[in-house]
Amino acid sequence: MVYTLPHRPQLLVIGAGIAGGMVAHKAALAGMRVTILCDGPELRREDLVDRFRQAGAQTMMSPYPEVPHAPQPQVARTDDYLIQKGPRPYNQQYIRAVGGTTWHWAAATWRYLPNDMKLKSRYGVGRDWPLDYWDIEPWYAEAEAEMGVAGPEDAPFDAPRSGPYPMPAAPLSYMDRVFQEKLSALGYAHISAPQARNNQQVYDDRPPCCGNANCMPICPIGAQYSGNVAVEKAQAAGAQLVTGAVVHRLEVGPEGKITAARYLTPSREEIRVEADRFVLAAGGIEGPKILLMSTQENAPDGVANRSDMVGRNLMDHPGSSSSFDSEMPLWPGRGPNVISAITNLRDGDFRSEHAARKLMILNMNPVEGIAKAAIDEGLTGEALRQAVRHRTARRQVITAFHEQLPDPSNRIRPSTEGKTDQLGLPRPEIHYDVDDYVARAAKDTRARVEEIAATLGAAPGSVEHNDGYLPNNHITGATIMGDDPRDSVVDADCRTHDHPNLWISSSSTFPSVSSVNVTLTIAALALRLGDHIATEARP
Amino acid sequence: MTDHPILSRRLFLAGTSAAALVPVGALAQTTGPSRPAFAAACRTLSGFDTIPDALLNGAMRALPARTREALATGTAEEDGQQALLGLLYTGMHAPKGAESERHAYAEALMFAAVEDSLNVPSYCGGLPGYWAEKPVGA
Repeated sequence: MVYTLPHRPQLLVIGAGIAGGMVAHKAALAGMRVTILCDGPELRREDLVDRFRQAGAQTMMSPYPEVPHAPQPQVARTDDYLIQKGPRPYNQQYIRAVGGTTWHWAAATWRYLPNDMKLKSRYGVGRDWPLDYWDIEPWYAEAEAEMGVAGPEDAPFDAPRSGPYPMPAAPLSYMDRVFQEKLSALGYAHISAPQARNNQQVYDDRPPCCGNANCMPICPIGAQYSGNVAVEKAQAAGAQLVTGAVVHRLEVGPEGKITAARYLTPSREEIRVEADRFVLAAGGIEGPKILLMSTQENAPDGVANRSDMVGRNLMDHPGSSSSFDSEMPLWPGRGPNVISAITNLRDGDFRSEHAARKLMILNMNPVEGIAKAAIDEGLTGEALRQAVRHRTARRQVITAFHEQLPDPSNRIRPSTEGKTDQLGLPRPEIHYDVDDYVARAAKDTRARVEEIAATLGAAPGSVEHNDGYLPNNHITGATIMGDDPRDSVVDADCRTHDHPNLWISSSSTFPSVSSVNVTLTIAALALRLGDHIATEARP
Repeated sequence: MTDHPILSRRLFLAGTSAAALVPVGALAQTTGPSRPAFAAACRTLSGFDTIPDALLNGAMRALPARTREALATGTAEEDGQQALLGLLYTGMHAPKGAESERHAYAEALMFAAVEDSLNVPSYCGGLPGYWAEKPVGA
């Protein structure tokens, strides 16, 4: 039994993260009747903080409740939900709740560089965007104003801008300043990271950051922007929010238009919502999965999938993490989790040969791992106490994002083996690998970190590097954007080639992942899309 | 800019959140060494003169009586010492093969070991921008 809602919105937004929230907000402000469907629950910040402090193991996901109807990958056991088909794991986390994954991020709000969108024409690798940087520059500016970004002016290898950041850059920590001195001597551009976190001022009725040092997994005071803000603003502008609505099917009419979305409630009731326009903003894995689950007579391979590109070209920033002990006590863990970055490896002719990178000096308190290791060594008493203190003051971590190229064989699809979640929906099955384009860059990254560590007084041979590649939750590519309907899913307006009233708002549309965090570009494209839809809908 | 906002925060925390994490009545079920004797062992092994109640109560609840007795009499195996120190330093009891249990968070001794320079994550560290100052311990 399927129940059709009597209410017919002009715009149905599927997903209530930053992308869905910003599209919905724009459209609602323009007077459209907007409904937002969210698979997970609404969250209260104070509950998340309590859950974090009381959690047995404090991970990126520990504050976030697991709801049976909207499972989400966990840190220690991502294969409980994602089905890892290899050859490498795609160990991503995302939050299925109102606000989405920007509940747990470091608020890094980097713009792409113009060349990030011209990889093919400039360097002969990857794909070009069907957009020019300056097409979205005004939307970057609007996204920065909406989110409250604090950033540096005229910093090297930061993208060109038509105006200043809404707030000046957050001050560097003592640790960052020491790094900056050493890195500058080595010839690196080391700059303040642009961040959507209120810097020493109230912005948009949110408080200034007071250095809770807990951006990931939860900012306790809301100084840091999170996607629930966009959803709440959309609601204030008149949008309706439905939670516990797990969309599993889009219906295609005889003329190729989407006619309705169907969702399951936590108790497995099936609801159908008809609308004039649809925006899929359900994230980089759930979004393509919905399209691929929606096989039907008018879309035999799934919705928006005549190109066979839905689910393909899955990317992330294959990451590295290296730790060492500096000679001097620098005390990482004071202030925001990441304050600065090395940017001069973001672009250059080398990109024809190997991946671009952004390196970051991690500013997270390392004391727990250090204490456990010291106890395991058998230290006790004053020796233990002093070892914990001495090592915590000196433990440095440098991480890196490496740019991965789109590869159609990296893909997400609904389980091909009938593996389902608690609602009976197929779980996401992932095939994923990382090629030599990244491997060559990662090898160079290690050598550079070794040199940096030596400059800071690390003992020779003491730098520890991670095995393989670390995930960074920058899930991109699986509904890729392009001009050619034969090899892409959406056009430059993020409208699906196959269905004139279906758009996608997600990093899944990105033709390149670049070497920087993807959220600001998600937000810029979402605002642009919301404006586009509102303009088109205007009588 | 305040000189020691972190110390003020810890003072505030003493006697607040810790108690909330310990089930009422749990302590009455424990046997083994006396509380003062066990506390003395905790002080010696941890290197701290003061053990917050949340941690001491947690250790008394989590560790078997015979382990506590051995710790109090200085006859514990290394495993027992490490179990106790793990709980005191991290606030968590994490026995091998069993689910971890949190007994305290902000009171964990690892944070006390660095409190002049680092705040406990999730608690405000000081006035906005405080992190630009050179840490006390640097």
